[in-house]
Amino acid sequence: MANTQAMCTSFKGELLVGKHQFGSVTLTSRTSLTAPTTDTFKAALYVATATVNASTTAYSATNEVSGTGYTAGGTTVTNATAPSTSGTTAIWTPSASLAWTTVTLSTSFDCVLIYNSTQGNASVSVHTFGATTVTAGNFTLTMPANDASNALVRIA
Amino acid sequence: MGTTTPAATEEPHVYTARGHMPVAALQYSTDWKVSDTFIQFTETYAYQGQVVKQSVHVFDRTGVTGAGAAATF
Repeated sequence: MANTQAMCTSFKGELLVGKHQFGSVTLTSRTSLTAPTTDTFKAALYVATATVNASTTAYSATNEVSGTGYTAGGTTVTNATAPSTSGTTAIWTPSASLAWTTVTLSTSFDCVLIYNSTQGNASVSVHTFGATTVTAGNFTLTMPANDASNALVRIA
Repeated sequence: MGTTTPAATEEPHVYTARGHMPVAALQYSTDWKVSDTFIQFTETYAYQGQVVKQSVHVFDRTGVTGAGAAATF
């Protein structure tokens, strides 16, 4: 069992039906045709023994980390940056780091799942890092450069 | 009116799993993990060999890619 960095396959399919509304609203938003809004995206951490990968279709509390200062479901992703294109690649990166402050997470964890809490917690992508724990401290995830080579989510 | 400068005798403390402890009493260490997809920095404070504070900072160097493709007729 291991977590694997990937774009979730279900997310690719959902893009074709306009399920996800990243950092800018359009009149094709299915939330409201008259007052469209962006979706709320969240980030949840998972223990190293979980199996979160391209096949993950939605957020689940199973194998999510737990501990002092951590709220199940994770933290809200700052969704202020509109998707854009660079060359022939579509890109999107959150406009702020993900941060958990003054937490104690004693069980080793190594991945974060980005998911759309507005749309039934549909998964977007999985990002892995070195297995770690946190004790009375902070855990921060700094976003990559929002370009064609590094953006958090890229459609090439 | 002005800022108050701590007296020289005041001892800096840091919040830990054991409450606020004097920094001078703790052993501080750092660790780096570097891969193609992330850079990870860990800073640890230990007291008598036991970790009492540990923070982790990850720089996600590159995200994920989905390849678009159009069929030909």
